[in-house]
Amino acid sequence: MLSNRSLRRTLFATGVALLTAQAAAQQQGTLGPLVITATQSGDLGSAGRVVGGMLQDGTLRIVETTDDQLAPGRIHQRLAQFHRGVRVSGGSVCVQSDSGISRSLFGHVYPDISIAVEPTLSARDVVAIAGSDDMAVLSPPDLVIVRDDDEDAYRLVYRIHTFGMSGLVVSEIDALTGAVVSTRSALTTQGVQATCPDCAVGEGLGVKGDRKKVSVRLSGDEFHADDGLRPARVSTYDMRGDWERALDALNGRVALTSADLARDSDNVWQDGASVDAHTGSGWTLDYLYDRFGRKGLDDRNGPVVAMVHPVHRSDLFSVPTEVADLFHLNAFFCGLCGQDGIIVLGEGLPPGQTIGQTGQVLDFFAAGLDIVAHELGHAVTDFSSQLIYEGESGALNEAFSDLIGVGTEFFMAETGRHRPERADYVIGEDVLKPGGIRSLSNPLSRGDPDHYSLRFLGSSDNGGVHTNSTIATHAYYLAVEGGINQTSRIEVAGLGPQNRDLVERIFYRAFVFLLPENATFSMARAATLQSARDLSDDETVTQTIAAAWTAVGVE
Amino acid sequence: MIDVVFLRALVPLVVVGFLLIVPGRVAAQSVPGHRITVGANIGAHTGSASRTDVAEFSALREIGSVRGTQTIGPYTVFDGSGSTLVWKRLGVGLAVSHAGGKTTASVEAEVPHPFFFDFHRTATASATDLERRELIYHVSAQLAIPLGSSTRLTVLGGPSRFDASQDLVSGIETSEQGFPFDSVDIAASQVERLSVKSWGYHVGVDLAYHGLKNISMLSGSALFDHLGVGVLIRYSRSRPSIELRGVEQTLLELGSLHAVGGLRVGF
Repeated sequence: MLSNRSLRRTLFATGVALLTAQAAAQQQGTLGPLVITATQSGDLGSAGRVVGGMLQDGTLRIVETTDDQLAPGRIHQRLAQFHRGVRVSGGSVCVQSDSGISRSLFGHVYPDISIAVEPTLSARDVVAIAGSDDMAVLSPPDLVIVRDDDEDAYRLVYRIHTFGMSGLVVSEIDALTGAVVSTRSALTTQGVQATCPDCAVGEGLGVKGDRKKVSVRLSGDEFHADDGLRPARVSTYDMRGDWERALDALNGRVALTSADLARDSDNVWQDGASVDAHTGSGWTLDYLYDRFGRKGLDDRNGPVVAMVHPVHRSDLFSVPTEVADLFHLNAFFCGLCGQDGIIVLGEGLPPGQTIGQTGQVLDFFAAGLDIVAHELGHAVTDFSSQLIYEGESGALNEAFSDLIGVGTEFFMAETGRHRPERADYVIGEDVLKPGGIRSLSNPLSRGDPDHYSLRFLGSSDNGGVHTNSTIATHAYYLAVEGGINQTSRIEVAGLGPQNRDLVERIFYRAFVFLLPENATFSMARAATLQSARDLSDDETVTQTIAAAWTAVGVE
Repeated sequence: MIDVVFLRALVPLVVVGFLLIVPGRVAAQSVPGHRITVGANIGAHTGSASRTDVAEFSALREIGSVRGTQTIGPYTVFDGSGSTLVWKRLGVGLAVSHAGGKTTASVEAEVPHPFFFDFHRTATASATDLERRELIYHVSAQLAIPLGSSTRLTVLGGPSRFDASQDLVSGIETSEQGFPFDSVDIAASQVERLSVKSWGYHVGVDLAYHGLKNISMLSGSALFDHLGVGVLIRYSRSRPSIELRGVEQTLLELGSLHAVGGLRVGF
C-alpha cells in the first residue's frame, strides 16, 4: 500500500508541467471542475503534478487503496477532495500506479473553493426537515460541499438519505438556510466456507420452469434461503406480500429477521421468484469471482441481501400508486437499506395485465438473471467508483450494471453452469415480454440512443441515466461483436465472442478502478483504452475499443 | 470374432481327440505307474486384464459416478489334486486351485457441483490393496496316456465350481476445496467386496514323471517308488454376472490359464 507521502513522490516524479486545462481555467477566472484524464498516452506528467500538489496540501486524501487482481502489480488509489475538512461532492481522482510509477489518473477536482464550512443548522435540524412519518431517515446527514452550476457557486449542504413509498431519496439541504437544494431518487433501479454443518443443497424451479440448485441452511425443521456455502453470505427474504413491512424493513424501522427468510419444508422449493432471486444472486457472485477475482460485491465477501414478494401481485390496484410503482413495476438496489444494502425484486403484473399500450407482460423481476445481476452491479459500483447517479456518471453507473447483467448471463450459459440460460444482449427479456427493457446491440429498437449525439438531455430519470446508458453499452457490444452503428454508420470489426471475457475485464477494470465518481463518457473512453493497454499487449484490442467508442460518438 | 477363450479351450480338446483317434502305438502300451495319483503344485495364474467397474452415488441432488480400473492378475496359484484310473486308461479326478492377490485401482469420479446441475467435477485418486481370490473345485474326466515307462500324460476336462471374491471401488468420500467449488478432492475411496459362486469348466494336460527312482543318488529310498514330479497346464473359465450397488457390471472373468508344477505321489 502506498502512503500519502510515497504517492505524492510518485505523482511529482511523473512530470513537471502544469495541467493545461487548469491554467486555462484560471486565466478565464471561471469556476468549475478541473477534469483530469491522463493516461500513458499523454498528460500524465502535468496531471500528476497537480494531483500531487493537492495531495501535499491535504486537499486530496487517499480514501481507498486496492490491489489489481487482473493486472498483477498494479495498485489503484481513490482520492477524495476536501475543503477545510469537508468533503467536496464530485471531487475525486483515481490513480493507477505500478511500482511507484503513475499509469493513469482520472478525476474531477474543484481548485477554487473558498466558502466557509461552519453550518448554521445542526444535523438534528436537518433530520427534522427531511424526515417524516412517510420518509424515514436512514443515516445521519453528511456535511458536504456541492457545486451549484445554476448559481455558478459552491454551497455547504447536508446530504441526507431517506426511504419511503417513493423509494430511496437523497436530499441536499442548505446548511445555512435550510432550503432544500435538490432531491433525487437514489434507487439504482431497473425499471466458503468449505465446511458448514447446517448448509444444505436444495432444488427448485425458477419462474421460467428451469431446474436449479439452491444453496440453503437447515434451521430447525425448515430450510432457509440463506447461502452458507459461498464466502459472501446470500440471504433472500420473502416479504409474502406485506408491503408495509417491506417498506419498514427498507427504511430501517424494522429489522429483517430469520422469520422473513424465504423458506421451504422439504428443500424442494416451489416459489420461482425466491429460487431465481437466491440463485441469481449467488451466480452473480460466482461470475464476479471467476471473471474478475472479485470477492463479493464489496470485494470483502460482505453479505448480499435480496427481497422478493414485497407486495402481492393481486394487490396492484389496492395499494398506493407509489407502492405499485416501487414494488410491482420495479427492481432496485438500495445501498443504504438494511445493514449492507438490499436488492428488491418487484412482483410484476397480475396475469392479464399489460404495460400500457405495448401489450407487454411483466413477470417477476427475479426471473431475469440479467436483472438480478444488474442490481448487484449497482452494489459493486457503490463499493468502488461510486459513480454519481445523475447525468453522464449516472448513465455510466447504469451501463456498468447492464454489462454485469449481460456478462453473468453469458458466463452461466457458455460455461455450461446453467444450460437453459439464454444469453443475449437484451436486458430484461425474461421479465418484460416480449422485447425486454434495453438492447445493447440495437438501442434504437427500444428508443434508447446508440450515439452520443442522440443522448437525452432532460432532467427526468436523473438526467436520463437509464436511456443514455446504451451509448456506453453499445460501444461495449460493438467492441465484442462488431457491426455498424446505425447513427454514425461507422463499422467496427469486433474482437469476437471468443474475446468477450477480455472485453469484460477491460470494462470492469476501467469502471471499478479507474473512473472517479463523476466520470463522463469521454473519461470512460479514456479509461477503457488505458485498461485495454494494461491488460493486453495486442494493439488491435485498444484500437477496436477506440473504434467502438468513436462509432457511438464518444471521443 | 472367434472368442479367444474358446480357442484356448479348443487346443487341449484337439489334443485329446487326436490321442483317442490315433491309438496306434500307444494302444499297445499299459499305463505305467499307479492307479491313484495325488498331486501338489505351485505356479502361476497367467495373463492379466484390465477391469473397470462403475458405481453411482447420490450427492448434492444429483447422481455422481465413480470408475475404478484395476488390473487383474497374474497371481500365484496353489493347486492340489487326486485322481484314479477307473477303467483302462480312463480315470476321474478332483482338484482344488487357489489363486489371488492384491492390486491398486485408479479411481476417477464425476462429482456433482453444489450450485449447478449437470456440471460435474472430475476427481482422481487411487485405491490400494484391492483383493481378488478364486477358489476353484475341478471334477475331471481323465485319459491317461503312457509316454514310456516312467512318464504319463493325462488329458483332463470337466466342470469347475468357482468360489470367488473381488474387491471393487464402490464409492468415494469427497473433500471440498471451497468456493467456487469447481474442484474437489477424493478423501477416501470406498471398497466393497463381492462374493460370487458359479459353475464353469476346465480342460488341461498333466505330464507326470515317476522315474526319480532311476536316478542313482535317489534309488536307495523307497519313497521314490511313489514320488514323482509333474507339470500341469489347466485352462478354466466362468463368467458370472455381478451387481455393484444395484448396477450391473461387466461379467466377472474367473479362471485363466494356470501353469503349475509340483510333486506327484502314486499308489
